[in-house]
Amino acid sequence: MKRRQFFKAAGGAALLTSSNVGCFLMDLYAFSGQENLSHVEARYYKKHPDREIECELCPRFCKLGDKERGYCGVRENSGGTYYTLVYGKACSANIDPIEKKPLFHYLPGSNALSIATAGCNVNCKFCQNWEISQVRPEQVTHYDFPPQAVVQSAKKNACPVIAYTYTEPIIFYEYMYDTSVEANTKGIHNAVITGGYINPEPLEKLTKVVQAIKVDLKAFSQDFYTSYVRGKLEPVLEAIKIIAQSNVWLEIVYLVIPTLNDSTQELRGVCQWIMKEIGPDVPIHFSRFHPMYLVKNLPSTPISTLEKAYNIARQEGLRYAYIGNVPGHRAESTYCPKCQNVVVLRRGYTIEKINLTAGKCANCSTPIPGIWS
Amino acid sequence: MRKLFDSHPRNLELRHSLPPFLLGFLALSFQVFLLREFSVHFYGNEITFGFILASWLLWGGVGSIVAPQLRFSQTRFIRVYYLVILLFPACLVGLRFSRFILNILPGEITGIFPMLISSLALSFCVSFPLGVLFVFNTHFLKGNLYQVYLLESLGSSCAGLLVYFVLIPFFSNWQGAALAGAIVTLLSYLTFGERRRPFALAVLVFLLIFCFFDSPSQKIFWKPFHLVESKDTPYGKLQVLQTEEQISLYTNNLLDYSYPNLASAEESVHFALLQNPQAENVLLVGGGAGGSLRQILKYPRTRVDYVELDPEIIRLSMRHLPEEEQAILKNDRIRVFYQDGRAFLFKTQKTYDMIILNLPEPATAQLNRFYTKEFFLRTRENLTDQGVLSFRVPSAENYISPELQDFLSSLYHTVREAFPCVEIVPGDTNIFLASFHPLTLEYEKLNTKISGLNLQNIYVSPQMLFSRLNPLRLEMVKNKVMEGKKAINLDLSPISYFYNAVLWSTQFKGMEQNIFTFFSSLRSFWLLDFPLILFVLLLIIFWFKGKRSSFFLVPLAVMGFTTIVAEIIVIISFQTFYGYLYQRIALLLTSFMMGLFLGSFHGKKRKRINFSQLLLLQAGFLLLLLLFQLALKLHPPEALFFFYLLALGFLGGDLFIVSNHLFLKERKNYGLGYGLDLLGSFFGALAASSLLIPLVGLPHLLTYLFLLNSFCFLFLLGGWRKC
Repeated sequence: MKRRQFFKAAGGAALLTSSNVGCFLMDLYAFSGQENLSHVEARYYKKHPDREIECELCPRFCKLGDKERGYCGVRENSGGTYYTLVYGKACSANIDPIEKKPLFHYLPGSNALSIATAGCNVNCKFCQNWEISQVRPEQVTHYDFPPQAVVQSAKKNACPVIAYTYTEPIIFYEYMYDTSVEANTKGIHNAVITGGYINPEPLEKLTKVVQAIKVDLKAFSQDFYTSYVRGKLEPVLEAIKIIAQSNVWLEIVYLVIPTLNDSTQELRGVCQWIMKEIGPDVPIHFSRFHPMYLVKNLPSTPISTLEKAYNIARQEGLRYAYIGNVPGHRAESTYCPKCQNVVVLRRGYTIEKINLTAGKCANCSTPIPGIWS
Repeated sequence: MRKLFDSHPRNLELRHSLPPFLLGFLALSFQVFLLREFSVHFYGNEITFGFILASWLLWGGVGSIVAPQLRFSQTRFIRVYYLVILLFPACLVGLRFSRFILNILPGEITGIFPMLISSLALSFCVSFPLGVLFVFNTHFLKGNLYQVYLLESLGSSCAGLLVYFVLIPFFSNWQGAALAGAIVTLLSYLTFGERRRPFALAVLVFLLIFCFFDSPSQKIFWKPFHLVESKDTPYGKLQVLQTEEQISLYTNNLLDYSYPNLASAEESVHFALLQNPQAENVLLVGGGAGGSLRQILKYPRTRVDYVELDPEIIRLSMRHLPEEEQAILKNDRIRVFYQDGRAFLFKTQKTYDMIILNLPEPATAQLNRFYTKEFFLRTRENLTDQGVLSFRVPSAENYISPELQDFLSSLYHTVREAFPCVEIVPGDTNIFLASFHPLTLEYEKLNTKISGLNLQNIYVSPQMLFSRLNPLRLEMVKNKVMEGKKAINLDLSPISYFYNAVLWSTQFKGMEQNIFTFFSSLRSFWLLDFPLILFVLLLIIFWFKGKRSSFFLVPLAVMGFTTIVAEIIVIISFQTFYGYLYQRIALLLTSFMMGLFLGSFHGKKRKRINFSQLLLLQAGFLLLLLLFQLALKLHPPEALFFFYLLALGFLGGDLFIVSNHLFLKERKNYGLGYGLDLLGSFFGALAASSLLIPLVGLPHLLTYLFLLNSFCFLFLLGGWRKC
């Protein structure tokens, strides 16, 4: 670290203690380049002879020689030890409503301090945050934001939740895990917004320290995962089952992309699978696709296609289906499955009304699953 | 028929004159259609014009250098003609289906490398045999190179006029290409005689099938989407896609708008109108059919002048949009002007309370002229004291990369040149608001206004804005643009256009991103001065070696480079001032070819050819460059561009004849002179279009050309005694 950078960073640390996260992020010297990457040993990897290692965090199982990085670009084998390069190195931090994640049955109306580092373990052609997910950490401007500072900022900004989001938080597993542990000691919740491309062991451990996970199920066919995501479907389904069996609150998002993953057969397939493997109470959001990144010339999803998906979900018995990214649509509110009354009335990212008493429908007292307060 | 032709001595003359004429005819018509189709496939970006011109010239040059090694025979000569006529449609089919070959999804964007590779591959198939034909024609005319050059240029000029006045206005690109091919087939059949009848017939049938395959092939291109209509207009190719109840309009394969798309319609106008809800006179440039007009009418006092460049956009929208949306276009509070938005603003005396640019980002030279200092200064004249200017560009919500920062920053600092107060709405799209008075994006204030006006918005509503206008996000964007490079986007130095290309390249992993980033960090010394120094060194070496042929070949290569770079400068500046290049490209190229024809005609008519004429022509280039430099400073009338190209062609054609004549006295090599001319042009076209124009700007580049030609002139002056 050069002297100038040291003083800037020190100044930033001082600021951190005196101001809120907004000022902190604005004033802290932004690092880019290799010298300020972290050097914290990674978890979940196996050592092999000749200084080779095998990463066991995600289903890619990258086998790496010395000085090589995994597919995610943020974990590096250095002399036979595997390091994460992004521990405490946030490249984006914002305060977002939890509805934007989206998490609907989880602390409605609350703000989440949302953080991300560079990198991702898949390569979706429709990525919304490709500027940070599809690059290596030295290519982005990042900030020193260690776990304690994150938790402190969340408290200062009155955010009851820290969300690990934007890119794939699995690739900054150690940073996310340690921040969650720290947050739990201060009574702050943790929500993970993930593609679910993770191995069972690290996932099970993670479910012990976080309170909510939203999984992006990007399609229900391996072909789609091969062509547009460059990953596998099976491990994601496995991860969803593990989360459903844990104490963590789970919601699923299915981004409906016109002609690519919107066939009736595929939509019915995913709903039937959820019914069979997880049950009717997990919320599923059918989100509207907007032209993005490499597929910016695709048209947006027609509303009628989303309504078709919604209807299929209801027919298959899923109780909490939603239409996402279409503010003002009636299917962005929560209805009591028994009396059909609105229990949470949403409009955009705003909660307009909550008709719940201790997690039960105010009208007929049917329990509505979720973490409501 | 053949007898008839052979029986008359004049027909014999025609029989010999026609092949080179047809060569020029084929070359120009195919080049124009390839340019148009190619630009459609790569989003109307003018860089593609440079790429195609460059690869066309490269392969033409290689073809004419290789051809002397090939054995000439009449049968072979004729076959190459038919080969070209057959290969060109095949190329267009290849281009249309290139997404399947390159494994690209419908709706997926492509980078610059696939663009370069496709342009090289496609041009090879047509331009290489055309280069070979040039040399074969010289054989055919017993070594009369000038005659070939002259007739070729004449053929090109005729083709250009036919393409511009008949084929483009009345036919699609594919039909036009097929017709041009059919004309040449018929004429060559008349020239070469009956023996080829079955073959000529087969070619005609093939062209006919090709013609009818245009529409089905577009449908296949868009599968699994449903293409409902497609239309070639003077401004580009328009296509309408239907997905369920939603229609999407594409211009040059780029998504223009989808309907319904309420988010886009609302954010395009409300942030601006909320600054001054009492606004009466509103000017909307582009995108009204996508729903923005309806949003403006929510403000009771507004009257809208809606300017849309391409009338077909509205006609197509009227046919496919639902009735209630069609009714909006007929509302008596709205007046529609079919005119280029920039031309409209530069002409009108009317002042507006609100000028809303609802256009795509400056991804092309055509669009960049709505984001320049000159343009913003003009909008200031057309705004009332309380007026607001608004425009929007795609951005990123959660992270602003250095490339995006440079792009946004150039826009911010450019608009600041004209307006003291500028605010930026954060989000996936950044909306820039500019005014003479302070503006506000405070959530509470906008919220109050929205409630006060009782606007029933979905996206620009209190429910959505509290997240979007979070002070943290507002500050992040503002800080980023303030800290970025303070480059000013000018009409003739389109830096925002370049930054946008860099930003575009970052989406693709691999080399191209590095190449762009590398060049954007390079000082202009390495781009301009350094190669010029190398060139001067080369000249000094040549001078010391004293080979006579170098005094004839150097001006040829310099002429090739100069004419093409100047041609591209003219094309881009034409686009900057007028914006309808897609339509006028045939006429621009024709002016140049006509100049070549007249120039070479003049060269041929010279009684004696000597070195001092070469010197004089070189001086002519200097004068011409100087004059154009001066003309660009004023707002030149459209005709000037055509005359300039005519003059450029004239000097080029004349110089070609003179220096080749002198060279051939030294060495009998027909292809080398032509090849060098084309190779010089190739490097010129490639460098100018992809890097030099966006990075250093047109005026600098013209100065550079002037210097280059001055050194060449001095070199010739030094060689006067030797020759």
